[in-house]
This record gives sequence, structure tokens and C-alpha cells, in this order.
Amino acid sequence: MNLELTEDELHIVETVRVLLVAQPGDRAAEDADGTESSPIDRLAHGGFLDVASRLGLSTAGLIVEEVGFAAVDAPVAAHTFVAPACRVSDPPLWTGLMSGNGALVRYGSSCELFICADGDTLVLANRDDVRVESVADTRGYPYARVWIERPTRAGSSAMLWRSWQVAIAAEAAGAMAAAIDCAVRHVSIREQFGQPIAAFQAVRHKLATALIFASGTQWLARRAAAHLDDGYLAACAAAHASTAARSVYLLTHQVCGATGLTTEFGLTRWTSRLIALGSELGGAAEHSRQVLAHRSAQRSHATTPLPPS
Amino acid sequence: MNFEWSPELTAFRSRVQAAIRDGVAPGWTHANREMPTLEDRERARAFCHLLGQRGLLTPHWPREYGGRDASPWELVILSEEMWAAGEPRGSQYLNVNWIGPTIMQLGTPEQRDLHLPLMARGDVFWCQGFSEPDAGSDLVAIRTSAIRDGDRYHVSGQKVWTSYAHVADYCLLLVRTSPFDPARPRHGITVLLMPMDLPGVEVREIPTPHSPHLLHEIFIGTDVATACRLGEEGHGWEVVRLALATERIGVVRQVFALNTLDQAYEELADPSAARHLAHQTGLGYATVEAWRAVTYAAVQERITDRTNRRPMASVARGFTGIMEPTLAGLCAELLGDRFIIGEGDPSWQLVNGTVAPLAAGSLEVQLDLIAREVLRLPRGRV
Repeated sequence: MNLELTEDELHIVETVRVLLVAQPGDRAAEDADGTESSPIDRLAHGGFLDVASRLGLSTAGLIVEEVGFAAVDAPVAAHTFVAPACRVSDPPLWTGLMSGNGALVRYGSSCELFICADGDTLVLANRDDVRVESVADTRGYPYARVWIERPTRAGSSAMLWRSWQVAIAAEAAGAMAAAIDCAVRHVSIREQFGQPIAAFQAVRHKLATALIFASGTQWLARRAAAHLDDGYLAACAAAHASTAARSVYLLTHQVCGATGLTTEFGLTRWTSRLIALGSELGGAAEHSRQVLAHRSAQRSHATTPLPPS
Repeated sequence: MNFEWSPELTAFRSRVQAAIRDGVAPGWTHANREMPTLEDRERARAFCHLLGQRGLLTPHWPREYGGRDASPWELVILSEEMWAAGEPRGSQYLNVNWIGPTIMQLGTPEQRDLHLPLMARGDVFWCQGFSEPDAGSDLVAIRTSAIRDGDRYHVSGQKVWTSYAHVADYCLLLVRTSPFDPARPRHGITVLLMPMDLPGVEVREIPTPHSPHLLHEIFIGTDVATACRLGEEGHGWEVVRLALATERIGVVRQVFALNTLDQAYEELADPSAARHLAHQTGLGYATVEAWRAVTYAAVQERITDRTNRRPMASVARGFTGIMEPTLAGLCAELLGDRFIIGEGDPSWQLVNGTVAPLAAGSLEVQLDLIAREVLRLPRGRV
């Protein structure tokens, strides 16, 4: 047990962070030939999106956290974390995750590959094998409704469930941290009654509470990513992330007031995603049901030591 | 990051579990941990002797003090398993977790020679005399005075909410050796290792409806030898910081919490509410696991950090303050009217849920620490 990030992990996290926040004009925002590139292209060119095969899924989970923090517009978690966990070889960047036919799929209109849990069966489908119906006005991400018409069955869906649940938690942890950062900046400069509202205990305690929920989400996601065979931990990670996401949503919006609701302010960039992440895969109700089912199964398999003779 | 328990740590957990099976009296619960009877006190002492004989009482202590320099993760395992078993060491977890290490760090050779072997054998009970009637969260406001007179301090004052005072042989006592100075509020605080059998030390129980959860106050009007002073006179605040930083994550409660949820859910009082309560219970397990993950992160911080600035300790402690009352509410829903009867671990959760946000630095203090130290929120004029 050693929860300190290794030098490799620290280096990757710091580099990914720099690449994701680089603005036009920054050197980090340019390709080798000097042309400007998108954050997702920068990650791809640096090999960070395929880190799971080289450094493992725990490291891939750290990248998902950073992508959540930066609110990247691409299905990085599906490509970088879930697909390798499900042993899908060479997944395209635009990979969509589905639970059941006709499900809402993040970036569904743009995806080239779909990985679907059809009950207990894992199903794969290419773009040509599905019917896609875009959905207007969705929260956090662009979603589309997708029907698989020519499925390719590929074994059990258990790992898809587990890795997707952990990916939700990791991405939510990043989004929570970013939402809290945004709220901290606001309350530190917004003055009422002659001083920054951060001086008021009611405000301070709300953000401290949000940080507790976010820390729990982050560390449980990391723990579950390290034990992807453990369905109980994966379900716990997603269940806690779902409820924590709603709490962080409410707490950060409360301290940012009406300004926080505007697109221009920026908080909703993360909080909308928190609502979406907290609702995917059946949301807290489904994750919680799975937690209880796994716990009951663990307990029924637990052995009771024999009494002394 | 590596979240795997090594084979050595797994074997250590098995040894701890075996000691609990072999040495803990049947039916021991957290109510016994409070040691309301002399019999409980002797059962706790006997169990600590057993742990000492098996090298399980102070494994994380340095070899020179009877330990074997075990990793802090062994302390975590010890704490998880002990708390889950109703903490059969009684109050001796205070000794081995933070009072002993504080004496190692700041004690004189004579103090180490006296106290550490007693603790390592499991022969001694301590309490911690910090809070006073007018000094709770604002600990620098303590008024218990210690006026030096040659090789003695004349100590006068009152401590409250002191757990385990009724069985303690010694008290880690916080006193003022110089008057409160608003310009240097933390200066002038001193720590004494006070024997509890001195004439003029009187312990009284403070009744609460949470019987047998015991709270005590200590009335002090006695002389304490200057040789009992821990560290320099007037510089006791560092001792407080060190002790509280360790105390905040000193008890790892999650295994107990998980077991409690198991029991409460098994005893579900109203099957017609099963669906709603199943949802709440699932979320309860999830939150306990998140709390556990944060606690492990705080332990790692203690291993890695060398500055004594430990924000994750406050996050973990804050999680405890939020989580324990939530669990108490869930247990109440699951048990229905059986929650009225104060027996069994799920019912004891009411005490945990009430005390956790108050003890060892209130939840509000932890939230303030997080706001200041982690979020770096500016302070205003309020």
C-alpha cells in the first residue's frame, strides 16, 4: 500500500494538465510544425490517450480525472479507460458507451464505435451498424439516442459496467474539483457587506463540505480503478460520485448566486456535467442497487471461523 | 499508487483478528470500551497484555521503545480491526496512537523510561485533559493555571468532557503557565504528564442520557512536579498540534461502520420500506467506502509529508463528522422502534453519530481548517 503518486504518474498528470489548459499562442498549444492544435489532439499526439496499455488502468484513470477537470469535449474516458478495460483493441477516439439498445450515448452522433451492455452481454457495433437520433438540449454533453441494428457479441458485460462506473467517478472527481476552484475564485473576490463573501463562515463551510465530497469521490475512484475486478468497489465509486455530484452542484451554485447560473461565468460548464455523470447508467438508484447486491453476495460467501474445540 | 495490501500486511491483519478471537470477552462492545465497571477495565488490561505478548500492541513504535518500526499501515489495520471489535483495548488506543509517540518525541529520558514501558506492556490507562468549560474549540482560552514554585507547579482549574478520566492513571494535561496574551494567544501553554492519583485531583461523572457513554470532569487543585512537564514551558501548543493531527485520523472507524450497516440491514424492521431503505443502505455503504479511501489518503499524507501541514487529516476528520450522524440516521430507519433500545452496535451508532462531530476538534473547526488550509479562502473582518 502506497498511495503516493509515482514519479511517472506525477509527470503524466502535470503534462496532461499543461496540455489541456494551453491557450492559443502558448507553445504547449502548438504541434511540432507550429500549427495550433486542439487539447484532444495534443493528448493524442503525446500518446496520453493510450496510456493504459503501457502504464495500466490506474494511470489512465488519472487522465480521466484531468479530462473531467478541463471539461474536454471528447469521449476520452470511453477511449482511454473503458475500452482498454474491456480489451477492445485499437478503439477509435470517438467511442460511445451504451447500456441497452436505444440508450442515450455521450457524443453518440460523432462516435465510430459503440460498446454496449445488453444485459449480461457485451456488444460491439461500428457506426455503420447503428441508427443514431440526435437529441436536442441535453445536459453537460451532447447526447444522441443510438440503436444497434447489427450487433457483434463479445462476451460478458461485467467489465463494461465496472469500468464505466469507475470512469464516471473519476471524471466527476475532476469536474467537482474544477467547480470548487471556480466557486473559490468567485467568493474570494465577490464583496458584500464590505468584504469578500469567503469571509463568512456559512460560505466557507459550504465549500469545505463540497471539498470533502469531492475528495471522497476522487480517492474512491482511484481505489476502485486499482481493483477493477471488484464490482462492489466500482458500484460504490459510482454511487458515491452520483450523490456527491449533486451535493457539489448545489453547494457551488449556492455560493455563486445568480451569476453562477450564467453561461459566461463558467461554473455550469462543470456542474451540468456533474448532473449528467450522476445520472448515467441509471444513476444513484442503479449503482446503489448494485452495491447492495455485491455486499450481500460477499457476505453470503464469507466463511465463519469454527469455534475452538 | 499502489492500493494492494501486501502479503505481510494481510498476514498481520490475520494475526490481529486471531488475537481478537482469542482475547476479547464474548459480547464486548463499544459500551464496554467506555469501561463503566472495574471488570471492564481489567478485561481491557488483560487484552492489552495479550497484545503486548504477541507484539501487537505497539508494533509501529521504534525498536528502542519495544516496537518494531512497523509501517503506519499496520497501525491502520490494528485500528480498523480494534474499532470493529468494540475497541477492546479500552482507552489504551490513546497511549499507543499518539500520547506515547508524543512522549517519545518531546519527553525527557526519565519520562520515556517511566511511561513508555508501561504503555508497551499494556499496563496503564491515560486520558487527555484539554477542554474546559470556557475553552472548547477555542483551546487557547484554557484557564487551568500552573504556577511554578521551585520544583513544583501549583495547578488549579477544571477540565471537562474528558473521556476515560474515571479509569486513567495519568492525564496529558494542558495548562497555562503564563497569562493569556492576546498578541501571542498560543504562547504560555504547557503540557504536564499528571498522575491522576495525586491528592486534590477529583473526577466526577457528567450524566448524559447516552448511558453508558461516559463523560467526566476533572477538578484540579494540586501540586505537580516540574519533572512531569512535557517539552518546554510555555511551548505546549506544538504538542497540541502534533497530538490533534495524529488524533484526527487515529481511529479508523470504517470497518465498524460497514459491520454496523450489515447488522442493521439484516434486522430491517419494516419490510414494506425495504425498497427505499435498500437504496439508502447501498448509498450508505458507498459513502463509507469513500470515507475509508479518504482516510487512507490521509494516512499516506502522514507517511509522506514532513511539514506537519496535513490538510487530508482535516478532510478525513470532516468526513467522519458528516458520515457518523448520517449512519446513525440510517440505522434508526432500518431498526425502527428497536433503535429505542440502546443495545447492539447499530443502536450504539447514535452515540458515535452524536460524538464524532464534536470530539477531537468539532466538525465546524475541521471545516474552517479545510477552508483556510486547503481552499485558501481569504479571511475577512468577521
